[in-house]
Amino acid sequence: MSRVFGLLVLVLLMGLLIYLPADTGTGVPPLSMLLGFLLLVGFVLGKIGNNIGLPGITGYLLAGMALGPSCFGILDRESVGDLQLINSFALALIALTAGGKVSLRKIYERLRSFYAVVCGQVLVTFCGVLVSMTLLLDLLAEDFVAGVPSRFVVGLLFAVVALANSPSSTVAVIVETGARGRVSEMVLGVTIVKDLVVIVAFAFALSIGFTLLEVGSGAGSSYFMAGMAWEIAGSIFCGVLIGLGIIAYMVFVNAEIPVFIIALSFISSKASSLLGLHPLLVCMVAGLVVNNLSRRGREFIEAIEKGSLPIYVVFFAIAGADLDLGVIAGTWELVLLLVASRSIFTWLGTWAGSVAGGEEPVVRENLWLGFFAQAGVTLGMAVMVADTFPGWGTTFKNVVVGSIAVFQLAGPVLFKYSLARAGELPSPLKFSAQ
Amino acid sequence: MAESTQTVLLILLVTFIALVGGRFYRGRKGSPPLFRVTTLAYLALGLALGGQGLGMLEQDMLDNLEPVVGLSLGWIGILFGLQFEIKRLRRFPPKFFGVTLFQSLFTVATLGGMMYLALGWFTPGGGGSLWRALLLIATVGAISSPAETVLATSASGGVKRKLARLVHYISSLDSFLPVVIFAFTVGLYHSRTGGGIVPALEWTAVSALIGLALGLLFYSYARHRHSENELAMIIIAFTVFSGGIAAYLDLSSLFINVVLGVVLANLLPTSERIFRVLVSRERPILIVLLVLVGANWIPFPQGRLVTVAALLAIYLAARVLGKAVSVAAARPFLREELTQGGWAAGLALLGQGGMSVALIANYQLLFGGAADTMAVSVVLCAVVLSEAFSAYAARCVLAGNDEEGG
Repeated sequence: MSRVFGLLVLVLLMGLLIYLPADTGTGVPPLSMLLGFLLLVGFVLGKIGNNIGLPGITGYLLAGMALGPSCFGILDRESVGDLQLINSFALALIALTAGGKVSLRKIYERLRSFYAVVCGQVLVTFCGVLVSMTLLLDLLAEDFVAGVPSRFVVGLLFAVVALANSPSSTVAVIVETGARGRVSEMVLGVTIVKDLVVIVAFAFALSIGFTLLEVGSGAGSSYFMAGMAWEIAGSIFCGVLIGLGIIAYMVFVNAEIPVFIIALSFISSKASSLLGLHPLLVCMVAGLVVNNLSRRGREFIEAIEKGSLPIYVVFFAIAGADLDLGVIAGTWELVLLLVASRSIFTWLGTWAGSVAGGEEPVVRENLWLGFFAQAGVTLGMAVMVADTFPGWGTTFKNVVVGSIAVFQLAGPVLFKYSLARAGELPSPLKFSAQ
Repeated sequence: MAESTQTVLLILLVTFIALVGGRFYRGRKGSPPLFRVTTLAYLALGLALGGQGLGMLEQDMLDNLEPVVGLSLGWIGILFGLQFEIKRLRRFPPKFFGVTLFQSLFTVATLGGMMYLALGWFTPGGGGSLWRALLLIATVGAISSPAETVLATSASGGVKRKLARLVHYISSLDSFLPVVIFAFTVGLYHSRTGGGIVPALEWTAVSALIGLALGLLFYSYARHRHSENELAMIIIAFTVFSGGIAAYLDLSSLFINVVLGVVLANLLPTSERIFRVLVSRERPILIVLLVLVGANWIPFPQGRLVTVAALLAIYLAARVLGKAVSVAAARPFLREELTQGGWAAGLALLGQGGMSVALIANYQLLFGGAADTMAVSVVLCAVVLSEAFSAYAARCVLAGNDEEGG
């Protein structure tokens, strides 16, 4: 109760600061004031969420949405843009943690099942969403696109987008809850592998779009494919290098870890964008290398986790503020269709994969609930489509943004629920017994 | 890449290199704490990258890093304020607090008086900026650092002896008065009211009220059971937020956070945990602050090497005089602690540390990097010199009182 009271007082104080002094120069609150306010509101909503059984990140997202341009507007578009520097730093750390949570040994031990789930999801979700979106587009939005090739390309892109998951949301829930077990391992491992698959699939889908719709020149398509190949191969190579560098640092220097972490995350994320690499993939691969090649590296990942809370609050609060909720109003039928088809086929694909992989019933029943969250990668693809195909590309982006809003809010809640059902959340009793 | 991004990258990279270098430097065993140059190393790094060096950290870039400076100032401010837990202070004789205040006030007055004459002589026509520079010099000079006492007594297993205990007490708390005077100075030169004693008092009161309000808010957040990670999160959020408020209203971030820390120390039963979290993460924050202050540093404004050297010599003499005379004057009240005469006991208070640098950073943040460059240069040089020799001085004083750590 006192948290809510504290929150109200904080909001009142912020309101007084913003609206009372009429002679405060430009009257624009400094970025640090907005960031501090966002952190505090996000933290309180996260704790309130925890108290009613929701994951903290749902609270952080809601805080961002409430304070962002779509709602109260305390953070305008420009401020959200200014916060992207901090956001990229946070994303790098989250990706390092995500990679660092994956044990290749454990995946190798049950490789067949792992492959089966990945293949099941990719095939069933992809085909299912492709067919349903292509066929139903005409019924729901006649003026969206005209002609069979266009509808097919749109359906194809929706299908690829539907495959993507959010490694950041997944790892945030795992770190926050301290979950351990088959479901959490599978969800994180499959999410990371699918991230790679999605990048490749998106490259192919765009190339098909270029060809069928005759956008740009023929060389544009091959140029694009080459770019994607560089992005993937370069990201993996760069990630391995960074991972080895981290191990070397931990073995030979092992000092001032917090500063090292901060410097590394900034450098890796900015170097990735300068070299045209995929920052998320670079850091995930680095985390994977660190965790699986050295015990000292694992200490590094644990050090990140120890100070991870501010990172998650900042990242998800900014993500919430960045969501444009206004677009849902204009495209709600298509958003609903995408949400429904993705949900149904994700469930079907995961179930089929886990049955084929010989997973236990408890995994079969709960695994699918961990694959709903979507975030940055999906949004990045939608923006690219909007830039590439002016006209229907913008509507496409709005539909995807709408579905991200739904999945970003519901995904972590469902994942936490699945972990609880699978008995992977540490109970207070277990802690005291230890 | 945006300029601010480049700046952040650069600073972090340099800091990282400095840290790694520092690691190897510190690795040598048996170095006596007689000549320490840690502050100088990081200031020099900032200087090398700033406008006076390679020119990589331009003023515009430094201005973009206001949230980082705000975070650092808030961190140091809360850390200092948390030491004012009345219950804990009552364990010490009340005369300690009196001596601390007297010593602080006397040093401010001595430094202010002597430097007024010196600045008037060497930099005539300073006008309003002369007074502002004078207040900076006097407040920074009055601050001591407890690190030197700790170093001097480290081999004896901590601060257990009577003079060492007194010196540690004074050096831990004597920043209070300078921080209050600084907040008043900020009010005096406030951009929106144009100066004057009454507005200055009003702005100081506003700062104190904001600190109080934020302290109560912090209390409402932190009174629940929290993990260390969550406490760090709350501290970061509040320091960034209060730094933003201070920047928005042109107030001293340091003072606001000191008040916040005092409120927490006396309201929150678990304030010790917050103190531990702050201490455990203080080092990287201080290093970044040093680099930023160094980047704004102009060691010899307009090439006036002789002027800076002369002012520095007078400043150091005034500081030594202020510290030594103030403690010597309090001898009648300190018979138990000063068993061997103790005329020079004040020399154990010559160290300057994080709080001095924070005050300078706050000054640069509020009045611009190029403001009163002569004064900033003198106090920074003094901080470096004090750090180099103060541990040795503290050790000599304690040895003279038969309390040497070994």
